[in-house]
Amino acid sequence: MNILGVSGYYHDSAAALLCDGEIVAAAQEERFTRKKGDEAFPGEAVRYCMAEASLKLDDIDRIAFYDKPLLTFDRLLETNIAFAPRGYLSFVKSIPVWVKQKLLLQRELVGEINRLDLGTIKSDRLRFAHHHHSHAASAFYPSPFESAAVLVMDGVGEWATTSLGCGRGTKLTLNKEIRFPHSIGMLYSAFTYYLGFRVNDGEYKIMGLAPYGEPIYTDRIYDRLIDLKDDGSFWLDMHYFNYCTGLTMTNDAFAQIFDGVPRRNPDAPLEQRDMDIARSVQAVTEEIILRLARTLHNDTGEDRLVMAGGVALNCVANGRLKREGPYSDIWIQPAAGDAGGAIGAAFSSLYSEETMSRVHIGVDGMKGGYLGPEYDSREISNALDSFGATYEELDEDNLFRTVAEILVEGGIVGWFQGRMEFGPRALGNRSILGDARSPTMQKMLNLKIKYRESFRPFAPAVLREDVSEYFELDDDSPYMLIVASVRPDRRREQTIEEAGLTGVDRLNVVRSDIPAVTHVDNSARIQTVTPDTNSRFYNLLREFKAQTGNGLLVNTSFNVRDEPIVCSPEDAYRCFMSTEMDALAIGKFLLRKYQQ
Amino acid sequence: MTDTSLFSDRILKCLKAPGGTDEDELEFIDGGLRCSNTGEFFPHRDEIPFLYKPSENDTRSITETIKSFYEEHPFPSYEGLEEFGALANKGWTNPFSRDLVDAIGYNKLVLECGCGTGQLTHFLQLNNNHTLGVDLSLSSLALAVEHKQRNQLERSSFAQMNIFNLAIKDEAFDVVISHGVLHHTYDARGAFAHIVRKVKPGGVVIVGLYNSYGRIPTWVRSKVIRHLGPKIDYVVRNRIHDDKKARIWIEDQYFNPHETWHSIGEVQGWFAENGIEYLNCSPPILGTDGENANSMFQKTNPGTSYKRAITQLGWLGTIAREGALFDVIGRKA
Repeated sequence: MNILGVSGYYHDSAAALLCDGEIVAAAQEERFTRKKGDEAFPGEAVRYCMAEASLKLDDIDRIAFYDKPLLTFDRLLETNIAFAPRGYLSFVKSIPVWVKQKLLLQRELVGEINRLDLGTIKSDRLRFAHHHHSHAASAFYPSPFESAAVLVMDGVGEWATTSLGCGRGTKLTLNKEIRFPHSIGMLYSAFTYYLGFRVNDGEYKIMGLAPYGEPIYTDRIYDRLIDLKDDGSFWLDMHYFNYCTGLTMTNDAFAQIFDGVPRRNPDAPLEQRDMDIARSVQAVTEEIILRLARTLHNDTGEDRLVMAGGVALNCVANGRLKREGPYSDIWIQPAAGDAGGAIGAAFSSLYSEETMSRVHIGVDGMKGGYLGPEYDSREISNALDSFGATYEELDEDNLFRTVAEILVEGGIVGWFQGRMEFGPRALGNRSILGDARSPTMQKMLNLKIKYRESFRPFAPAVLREDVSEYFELDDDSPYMLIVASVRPDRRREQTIEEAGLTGVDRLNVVRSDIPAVTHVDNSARIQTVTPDTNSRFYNLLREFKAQTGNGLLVNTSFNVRDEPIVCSPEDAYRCFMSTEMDALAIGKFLLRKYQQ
Repeated sequence: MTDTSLFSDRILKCLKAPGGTDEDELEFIDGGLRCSNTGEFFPHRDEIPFLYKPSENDTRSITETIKSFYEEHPFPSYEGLEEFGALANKGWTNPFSRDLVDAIGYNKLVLECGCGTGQLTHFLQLNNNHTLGVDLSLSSLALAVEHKQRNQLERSSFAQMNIFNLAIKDEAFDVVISHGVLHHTYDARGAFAHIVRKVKPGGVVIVGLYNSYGRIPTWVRSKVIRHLGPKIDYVVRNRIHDDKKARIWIEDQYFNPHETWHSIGEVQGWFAENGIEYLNCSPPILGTDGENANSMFQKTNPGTSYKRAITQLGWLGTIAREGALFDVIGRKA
């Protein structure tokens, strides 16, 4: 049975193809259109999925959409009635778009798909899944677990913002939910907005900023903004938020809680206060998640947990859950945001058939996240030739050895191999790599490769068998979704002057023998690499270890500033040339900057 | 910083002594540059490479007047201590510089005549291009070099030169840009002929000038700005967040000692005189295929005199508020 899953029209559109329960292809639309977080109908992603499996629309049994538009409309309507007459303007503004695009979605979807010239499909093959059910399905069905507790947390779907449930075999039930406007995602986004970052995009920056601060505002958040119960359920005081009725996230009353200081101007420098606020909301978020996870454990009796929804990308909270939570094992959908809903909707539709039995048990159905397009040597060399690039062709061993040598010398290498990753993280197929031991690497990467804020940390990719040599973790973290501390014996004693530094000045202090991936609180967002999920990346790490004794590298996504991660060889060449990367290893070809 | 990192090898090979010949080779020696052909030595001034030679035909000394004006007001200046990442992001956000860097492509040699404090010269060294910015004003160049050194930029470089006596070999650069500069010289048309000689055959020249129509509102504002204050300027109100930078913008726009105004047709005439094929105009000429061009360097229709007049009248309502600077792009045969 072939099922095409589709998500889109809110943010981060994507398509995924499921053939007899196996994820054959999945990709986000932004990678093809080069528009970050593109929310348009994912035409190019659908086209790619169909080409990957050499299928026509006539071969597709069902198309599953990740959301029920009528229910979301119902939420908008009721929210606006509840808060009326406030919010009248934002409501009126959103109505025409809603009626045109979303309520007529069935017709729109079928029309868009049939316009792709891949055959035709009728609307009777269309299915709609609940938003949180899509997330839950994306977390449970591809996980290796036969049964598990399921936790979904995001901004908002239709009504639910947090859902708790349980998956067993092919059955997936969500039996508790917290409803809009009470939402962890919205709480976090409100602070993202207040601290001057872009909502739906800047949440990572808050998480990266938090370790620079102290959680001195948590009391004010608990006293005024959120009423958190022991079981993890919560209630937000809407007096301080503006997202139900306005076009901003927070209001003046919110600012009053933080001494009346208005929203930070995005161009203004970050101050200690901003970092303290970031740390405080991060601490509150972690507490909510921990309590919810414990409740869910008590309710279900399950020893394993799966998670999805945008909040599941909070890898600092995930790390705490792993260390302090009641579960023996945790699996998180790497495309935890709305893009992953395409996979979930497809699974949900598949297992709605009573006769189906679970595939994937005991294995990771996401296949390391490498579900996107791959380019063969001819396509790559054609692309490089069209730019007049100078490059050499190397056999595998030679390529690994040469790239490792460049890295050892302090060079920064674009690493473009195999199939593109699905989800927000680059996991060694569309990555920029550097030597984690270099004390200047973090600054260099931020300022001359990524062109982004200098406070932002970088993550390590490490050989799975060596992870416990560097970090306080001895477990898989294939999707870079777990944060753990650098081992104390690798840390460096701070001088008195260094210990006295505050704010971003703490950035340049060398804290360990792998300073490029050690954040100011000695934490690291870890990716473990195994030969069965990514043999080329594993072999490169092995070669680097052979040359240096260290089996780990800095791994950051292959893109600059606010652009989507590169998809094609053309994207890779452009990105390589527009930054100070020293080399690009693309398939079996190697480009060196000084030869261009 | 060592002397040798002031220029990359590719840029150094393009230089000659001011007033020298294309056979000249320059080399770094003891805090200056030496011409290996004549042995003449050019010591750096304030650690900036100095290859300046005065203009011969400038009877009204406009070059000297403008030079001292920009020594006092280095333009456009930086907002605080900018990091290169911030500069690059600004460049990508600005449609003109983004389209320009995309059109230039990769690994090119780029000359900017009148680089001021060097932002565009720095931005265009992306994509592995090697860029040289030249300017009259030593104080502007000092800010440009400071940014280069602090951010360890290896492919952008700077030297003090006179546009009428460029110490650069003929046909040395793939791209020559002069964005908002020639209208401050004593002879814009003559200056254009000088800079065009530095473009390789098949290379591209971009010249940005004040527009005869669009500049009128600025002229009107210049008569009242002393009384009404800097807030009547759109750029100060909306674009600039730094007081020092705002002051310099006001000086440059309203109190410049010398400026001339030009039209699209006039520049197309300069192109014809110098063997340059017209490619495009930014903003585009209305009613031509320039409006839908995929690249700034795409060959488009030069329009009729009627279309050009309508286009420039239209600029009264658009670019006039930001100084009425328009760019014409051409390719050397």
